[in-house]
Amino acid sequence: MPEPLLQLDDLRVTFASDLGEVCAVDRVSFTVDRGEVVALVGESGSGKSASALAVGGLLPEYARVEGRIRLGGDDLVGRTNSGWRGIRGSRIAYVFQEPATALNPVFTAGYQIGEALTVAGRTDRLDERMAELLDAVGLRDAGRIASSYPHQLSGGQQQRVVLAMALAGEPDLLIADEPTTALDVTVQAQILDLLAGLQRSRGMAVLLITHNLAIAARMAHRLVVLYAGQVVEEGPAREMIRAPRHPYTRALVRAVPRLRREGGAVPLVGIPGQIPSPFALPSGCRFHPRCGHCVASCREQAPVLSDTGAGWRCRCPFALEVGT
Amino acid sequence: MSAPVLLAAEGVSVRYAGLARPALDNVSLQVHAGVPLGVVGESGSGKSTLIRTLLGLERPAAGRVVYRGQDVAAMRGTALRPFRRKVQMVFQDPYNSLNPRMTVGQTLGEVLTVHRLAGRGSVARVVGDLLGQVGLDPSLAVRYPHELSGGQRQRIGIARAISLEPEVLLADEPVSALDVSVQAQVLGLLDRLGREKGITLVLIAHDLAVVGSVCQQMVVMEQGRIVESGPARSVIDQPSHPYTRQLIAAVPEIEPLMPPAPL
Repeated sequence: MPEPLLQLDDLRVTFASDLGEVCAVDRVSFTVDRGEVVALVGESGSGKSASALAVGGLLPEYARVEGRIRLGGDDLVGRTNSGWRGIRGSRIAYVFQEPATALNPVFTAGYQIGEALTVAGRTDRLDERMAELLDAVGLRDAGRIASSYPHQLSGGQQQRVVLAMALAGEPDLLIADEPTTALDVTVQAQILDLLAGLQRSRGMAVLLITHNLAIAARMAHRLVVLYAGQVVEEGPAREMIRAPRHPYTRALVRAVPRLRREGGAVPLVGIPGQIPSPFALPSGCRFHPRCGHCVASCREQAPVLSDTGAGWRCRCPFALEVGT
Repeated sequence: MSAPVLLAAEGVSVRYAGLARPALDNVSLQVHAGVPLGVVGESGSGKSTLIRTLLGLERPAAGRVVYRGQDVAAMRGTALRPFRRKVQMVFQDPYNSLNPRMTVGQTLGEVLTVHRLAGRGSVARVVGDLLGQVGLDPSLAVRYPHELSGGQRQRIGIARAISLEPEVLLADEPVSALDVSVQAQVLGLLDRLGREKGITLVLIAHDLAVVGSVCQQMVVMEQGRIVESGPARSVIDQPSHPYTRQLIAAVPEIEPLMPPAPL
């Protein structure tokens, strides 16, 4: 089997805080193949953003990163600033949630795309490349957009500019952290279509971070579901959405509002309680206080992430019995 | 519809200085008692201006807002008090709508004291009771907003609004800042409060699925105008306006699934 493009092995991220050390990401392992779309799904505090930032070495200095992150055979953990040259902005690129804060308000869109091209070492044919990028992200009126400042653009146009900057280095891996959460629904749909099209045409791998399972299911080949810093389920996206095995994933699926339901309106089912504080993790299974299938052993024994067949892993000993 | 009209906009237009297009353009809608109404629209649709106008915070350039048969703009002094109390609001951002220097108990207690709904001796008990009604532990009364999660803060915002026993609750994107799992909890809470306490919900949201999960009636707004209205189910199942169809197509849904690209 060829080596995966991105491989995380027992990734641990801990933050120093006034109340002691907190573990945000607890021995997370998964892979992303070349050209594959993997969605990292979870609620606020699940560790999805910390995992994504760890990949590009973007965590603050007070964070401690342990474990292994490999990109196409190169180790990424422990690199200094100069060690990221030739990786960040060229082999890995990011798109974040708020395009308005990702862009520098005092430079034009064209200047910032030019800067991204320069950082990626693509300084020849600069104007030509910029026009290509603007076209690729669906910005038709290239001249006007390039000379516009961020505040003169709509949210959707801003996110397209950010995407153009991310594509400047022709990355192997695009990490998109809630890329459409700040946008209107119709704009969100356009940006997701654009992202899917670019991923296909360029054969780029995408690590998509989202709390919205519907978006994850639409975009990804595989889902990795995080809860309280741990992977609780990983498997093929469409199958998992249809028949989730972990009680948490099942609860997430039921929480997504749906336009149409068979047999009329069914009330939305939320997940009772909330994600535990990293300072007060429950004993045993971290999901047990919110789980409808909790039995005595769940309160005592921490379940392991075990193989449940066909590239599917689940951190629940009752995975195959629970059913929908 | 036979239920009495609590709140209505009659041909309301609102203009802001310097803008060519009116923020609201001849908008009419009725909030019937016990019939939750959803207002769907994106940025710039005028839905937030509509809420401000329904609350009497924005003066219409034309048309009027009517609460129980009375023109809101004509209300003065004591006539305004019952309106201010009976029409309440839940804000989008649970982070910015609570005073960071007041505990939850102080925030809720202040409302009760101002409106003389609880005496000095009973405030703590009523606050505890309110927290219970929105599914929070009464012990949270001593906490500050920064110690709470987004979902908990939004519940405090709802507790504040329902403490005045309103007839109409206007909620402007109350769940768009929350995680999906917490969204469902808060929508369920709004739905339950409507049924149990006889509060009529007006839910403003950009997500049709969110509105469809709670509301019986729906209006769709685009650029300051209502482009479609009717029972929520028929608007979703048989949309007649192209913009409504566009909104429906844009909702990310679990089913039907788009096939992902082959590897």
